Amino acid sequence: MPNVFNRREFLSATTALGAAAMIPAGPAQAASGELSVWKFGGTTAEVETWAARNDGFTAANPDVGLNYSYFNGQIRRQKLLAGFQTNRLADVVIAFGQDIPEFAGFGMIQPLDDIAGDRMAGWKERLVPEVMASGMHDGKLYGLPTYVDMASFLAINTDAMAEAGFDRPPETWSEVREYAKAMTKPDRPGIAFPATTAPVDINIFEGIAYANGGRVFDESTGKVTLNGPGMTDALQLYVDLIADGSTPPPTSLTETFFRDTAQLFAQGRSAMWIGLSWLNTPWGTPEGLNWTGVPFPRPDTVTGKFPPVSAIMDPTAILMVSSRAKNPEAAVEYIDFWSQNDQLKIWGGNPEIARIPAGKVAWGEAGLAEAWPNWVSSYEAGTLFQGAEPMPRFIGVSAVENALGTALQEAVLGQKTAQQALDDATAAAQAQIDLLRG
Amino acid sequence: MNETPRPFYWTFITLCGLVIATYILFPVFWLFLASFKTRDELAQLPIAFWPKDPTIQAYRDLFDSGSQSSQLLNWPTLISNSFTVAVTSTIIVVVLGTFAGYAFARLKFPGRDLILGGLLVSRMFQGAALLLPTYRLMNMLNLQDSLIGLILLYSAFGLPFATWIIASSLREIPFELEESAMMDGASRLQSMVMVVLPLATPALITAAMWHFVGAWSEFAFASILLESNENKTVTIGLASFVELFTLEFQRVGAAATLVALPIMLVFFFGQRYFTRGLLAGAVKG
Amino acid sequence: MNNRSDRWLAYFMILPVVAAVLAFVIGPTWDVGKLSLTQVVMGMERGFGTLDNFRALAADPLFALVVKNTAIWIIGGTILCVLVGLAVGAYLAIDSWQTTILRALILLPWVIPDVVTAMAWKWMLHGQVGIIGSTIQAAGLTDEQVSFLGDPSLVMWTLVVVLIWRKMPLVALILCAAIRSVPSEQIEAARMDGANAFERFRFVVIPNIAFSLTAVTVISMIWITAEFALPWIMTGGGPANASQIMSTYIYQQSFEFFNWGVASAMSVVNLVMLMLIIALYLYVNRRSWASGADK
Repeated sequence: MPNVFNRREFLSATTALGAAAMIPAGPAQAASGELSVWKFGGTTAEVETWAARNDGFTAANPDVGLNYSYFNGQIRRQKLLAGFQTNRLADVVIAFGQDIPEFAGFGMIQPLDDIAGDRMAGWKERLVPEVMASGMHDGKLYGLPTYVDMASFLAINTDAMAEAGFDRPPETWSEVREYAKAMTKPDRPGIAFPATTAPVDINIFEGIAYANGGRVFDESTGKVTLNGPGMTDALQLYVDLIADGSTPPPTSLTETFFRDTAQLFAQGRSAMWIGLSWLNTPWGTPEGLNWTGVPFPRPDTVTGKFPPVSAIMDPTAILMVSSRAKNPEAAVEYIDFWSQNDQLKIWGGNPEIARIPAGKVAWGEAGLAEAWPNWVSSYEAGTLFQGAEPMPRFIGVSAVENALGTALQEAVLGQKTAQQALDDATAAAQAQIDLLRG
Repeated sequence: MNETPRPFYWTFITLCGLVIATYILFPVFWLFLASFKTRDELAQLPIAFWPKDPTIQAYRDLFDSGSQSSQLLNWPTLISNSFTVAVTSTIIVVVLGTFAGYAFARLKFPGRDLILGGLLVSRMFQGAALLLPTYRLMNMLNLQDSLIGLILLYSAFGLPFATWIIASSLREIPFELEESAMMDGASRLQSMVMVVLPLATPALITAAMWHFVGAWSEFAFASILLESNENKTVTIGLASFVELFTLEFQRVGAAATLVALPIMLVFFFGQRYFTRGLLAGAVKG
Repeated sequence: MNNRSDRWLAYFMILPVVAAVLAFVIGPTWDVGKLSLTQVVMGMERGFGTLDNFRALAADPLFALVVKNTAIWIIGGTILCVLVGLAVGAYLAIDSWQTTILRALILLPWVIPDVVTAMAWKWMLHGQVGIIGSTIQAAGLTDEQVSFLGDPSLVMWTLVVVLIWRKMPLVALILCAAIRSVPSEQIEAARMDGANAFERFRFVVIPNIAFSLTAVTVISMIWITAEFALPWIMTGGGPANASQIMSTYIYQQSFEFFNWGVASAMSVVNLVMLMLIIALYLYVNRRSWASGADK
């Protein structure tokens, strides 16, 4: 493989760091040629800053014709699949960590070890190791993450909490039920959680279930494990919260996805809500709302067969290189550009404050410390990523998560018991997986 | 109808009108109203109907280069791309559709009705399932990520219905007119252009407006075929916009108004012909 | 006139249209047909000539629900679209200033891209912040605000209401034009014979517009079949698959699960069912269809 690219030598134009460990002889030559980049989804601030910073890349690499395109997140898989089918994938693709096994398995992306071995040292130096590990698959680095999202977290309206007579956030599942019930008022449910089939809503639930020793799939046996006790009891918690009368009507939960749930919380229409790490969503937390965000409480006793996790995480803007990249040197150059501290600082609260940053440098930023003092202190203590696992990722993950989403809705709506819904989902997902894997 | 106005009748007519108008217009009106509200006002409960302090900030944000939305979405480019695609494919559809419509309406040839029926039914085939094969085809023709490819595709999608509308309307025009022109020495093509087409203008306008709206609003195929920012069409921009500002309906409303405006203008001027064309087309067969 | 040269002229004139449709519509459809008989594993095509995809479809417990929902969507949608369109069209055919205004505005739902209207409806129908549910609740018609799109028993028909909102105006305008072209002498004669308004409509107007009714029925069915963005954006098939229809399920299978062998098989089944429905409908209505085409 490397022989193919030996004709051109890559050399970092922006930093000497990458260049140090570089290709042996020959006259210094910057990366050149056309480079296409597709980015999918992101918050407004991130999408904007990303586009603006690209100018920095073009300035530093005048010979590279950067062709950057932003797409909305919903057409991510459709676009990549179509591109793959016709050999027209962009050179660099910025998508989700959960996609990696499927993309790698289909041969859509290539390991960075093969084309950017010389840059690795620099990346390792600048990136938080636990976050960088989220780009790994089968022992190889397939993508460079810029941040991760973690599941699951609980946002609490502290005024409502004090009013109900509590002086600290709940710590166990039974406390969550107790708190939610106590904080419920006629016009304000105690707790809300999103239960549409949007992938994020499913991730939120998975975070709770994984902490209870649940898993959606067992790669070693190839079996879907949605109906294990760890998953079922987590789903039972959702069902119990509804049965307690602590939530909005179940029919409303199934049509309200995470952003809308956040907004309802911000409007004082629920006293708590379950979300991902970006609870401080830039989408509408008004002045004067007193609230706090904590990791979602633990089960009273872990019932799942698998080791309980402290959190699950996924990089949702991870840079990957297409296996058909026509210009891998420039692609690596682009990725290296985004591994520089100047770029990584973006997620240190400047301007993006909703993510868990990948860059070590971002953790020293004032913006982050102000928005997330707890994160920063546990990062500094080295406990932030302790016991954290990647979000589910394997070939067929979409089919399994979709089946889980259906089960979630069936149980929430009371159409089936938690166990029955998950049994059915397991059968459906297994059929899909077998079909896909052949 | 020559009913003498009676109070009961008048009330009935007005009430029916109000019910229909509410159903048809309220969603559009509600979105339009939202575009003049502030974000905080939209989040308020209970829901306020009229904007308290009407503002055009959302419209300014669309074009203000310092604001978030315009950096992401270059509305002038998006609109001009959509315009190019819609206008060009409309011209293609009307010209080719007129020829084919003339043949189906005025000439006898084996398989005529079968082919026309087949063309019409082919519209059913364009679903989610065809996205991938279409992408493969366009790639083979080297027409992906190009407005020309989109123009060809939309033309192919629009031609059957346009042909059908035009053919139906041409059937209504008496043969004698054309025959007398040909007696006077005009060729078939001359008589078609000079005599028949002027009479079929409403149908041509109907077909054109029909196709224009379809091409202007199409999303699924455009979203999969177009890649570079300079080629994107307005519906792709809208979809990204709606995703980014899902809770800011004042912006969504403003963008929707902006995008709907050109078509509304077209309709304002073409409405009369449109109804007449539909009459000639779908009514008489 | 020379018949043979006419024939060649005709073929020449329809050639571009036929060629375009063959290339861009029939070609990809053929591709889908081939794919439905191909085994696809991990994104790779592994051998042509298998019925596995159809077998997988038959074994899918969800498929029956999808067929049922699709029937509501297409058949229910078409019938309601034509009936409501006929009622509104008859109303619009009356001469008065109220109808003149409505005729000018009624096409608005059709000109705004459905990427936007779907979002607007979703917002208006929401069970906590939607204007529709809260108005109904404020009027005392329901105790709690209804979640139109979150309630599995309501969602499919709610989608149909939005579908009709989008498609009906055109049907109404076409039928309005047809009704207005009914010879007024015939209506007058029926009135002389003592027929009341309903009888005049049923026995004079309807037979006169029979062909238009058949035509708009077929056309609406074709439009409704091709409609994808509306249900996909509004519910994505949820809750709990209660609004999963063929087009959304095909999209999900091919682009979310990457199972495009099965997705193709589903498209083929979908297409065959539609052709049967349309053929049946045209056969039942062969009289009005044939007489219309002969004119």
